[in-house]
Amino acid sequence: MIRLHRLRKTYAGAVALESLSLEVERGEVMGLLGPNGAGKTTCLRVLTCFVPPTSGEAWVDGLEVRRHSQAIRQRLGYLPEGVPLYPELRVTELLRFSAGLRGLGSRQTRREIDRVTGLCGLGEVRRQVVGTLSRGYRQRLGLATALVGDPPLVVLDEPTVGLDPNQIREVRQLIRDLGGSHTVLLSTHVLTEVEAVCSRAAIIHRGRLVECGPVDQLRGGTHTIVVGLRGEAGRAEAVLAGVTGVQRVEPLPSAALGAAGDAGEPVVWLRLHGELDAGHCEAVAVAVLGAGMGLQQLRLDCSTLEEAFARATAGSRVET
Amino acid sequence: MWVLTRRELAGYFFSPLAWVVLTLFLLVQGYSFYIYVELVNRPDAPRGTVMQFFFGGTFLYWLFVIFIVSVITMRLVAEERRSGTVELLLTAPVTEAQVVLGKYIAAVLFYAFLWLPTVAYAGVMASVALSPLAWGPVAAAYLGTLTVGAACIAVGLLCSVLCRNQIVAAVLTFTSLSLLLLFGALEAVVSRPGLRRVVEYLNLFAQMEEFASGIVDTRRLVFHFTLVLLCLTAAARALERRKWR
Repeated sequence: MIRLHRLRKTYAGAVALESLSLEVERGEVMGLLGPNGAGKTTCLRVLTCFVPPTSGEAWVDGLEVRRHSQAIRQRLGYLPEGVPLYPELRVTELLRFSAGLRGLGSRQTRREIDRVTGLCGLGEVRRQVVGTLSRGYRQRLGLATALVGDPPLVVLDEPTVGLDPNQIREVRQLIRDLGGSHTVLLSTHVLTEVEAVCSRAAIIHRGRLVECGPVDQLRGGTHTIVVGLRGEAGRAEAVLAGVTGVQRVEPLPSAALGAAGDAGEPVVWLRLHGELDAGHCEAVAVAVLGAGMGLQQLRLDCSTLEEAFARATAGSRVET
Repeated sequence: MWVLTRRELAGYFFSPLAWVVLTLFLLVQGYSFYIYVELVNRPDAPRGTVMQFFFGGTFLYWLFVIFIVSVITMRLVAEERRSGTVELLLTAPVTEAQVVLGKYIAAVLFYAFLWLPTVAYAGVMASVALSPLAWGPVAAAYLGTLTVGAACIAVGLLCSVLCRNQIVAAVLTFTSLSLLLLFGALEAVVSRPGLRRVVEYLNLFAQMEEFASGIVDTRRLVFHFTLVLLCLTAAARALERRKWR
């Protein structure tokens, strides 16, 4: 559905996108992650035909953005950053305007207004003036305008900003529901949103694509096991290094973990690295107890998207 | 395109600015109408009818046309750029030309709406004047006011596309139209025949005096239409270029 090939965009000499290549399949919900100024919004603006690429190509549904701007705009619904809306209009008037821009007839417009107000929970404020809406309702209205006409591609820039936790859950569910029948590209700072909603994610840093793939794969898929035990540190390390699957044993500072042995004997904290999963916890427990050491704590640490994001964008401030 | 015109008109009528402009416009036009009636009733009054003075006989007419056009065009695109709604508009399946034309038609309709109540002044003159009112020159004057206003609005729209700040857009429009108006004043000082003909052709003062006298010269209409076409084309191109920057 979306194909970016060596996309480059500069603004007055400043590079916003540099050789960005990315593909999004039809029906996929793709998250676009990156720190501030990474080029996410520029990428969305190129795709929505708002700014042209300096070089490279951007295709939407087999159409190139510079040559087929009108046809592409007909196929997409866009929620821009900051949700710009006309404050003097009523909610239904704004949705009617949006439908009018898409060339919908009056009957279809009425049907679409009913559909999107229901989808986005705007029923209570249908007659309200946009300028008097709360931030959450404005966000939902922005989303509703993007969905008018049921476009096959939905591009959302920070879709849950300003929503309360319940609204966030509803909007995330809505985006999940759009997946399959729609292609959704969403840019966000909220990593948990990507984990909750997206099937794939791309991390952009300084205009370049640094990571792209299924969310599970981006997390790294590797887990570590943290063990707290009572015994002699050198012996414990040797015992645990022998457990199948453990590739490296890393001693952890016990002070950082805030624990001490209740019998006066210090607790040794170790992190086990390797191709580990929950099944290895049992083997580790058997090894510790078999060596006559006391097991204080044992837990499986799953790597997070946040860690992957921090790794990929190392060297810049990370916003989560 | 009509959907854009409708939204723009809603923008005018739902904002207090439009009603303030309408009130001030009618207040000043009513006052100037009263002055012209007083003037014509004086024994040493210059030749001409009240309606002739009302439409372009003095600088007051032009001051208000330029001022009103600057105010009603300043927000057209500059406000959309400031609020960010231009992104919503230009990523919708409409062309830049449709956006420009839709906004332009709305501004012209609003301008015509401002002038509409002044038809009552002609009605007043028809009912109280001793000699019957010549409706032909009045109709020609309204046609001139509409086409001159339409040309000025096109200039204002272009200025609004070029500026992000609506106050700057209004100042630019006011300055551009003032220069265009003052260009006609050169007619008195230019002696070269070729240049004099150009200045004469572009003289807005003379144009409105003609319309107010009941003369509808198609060359004037062609000039207004050409100015509209040039400015709207430039506005559409500028919008496209600025959008793509």
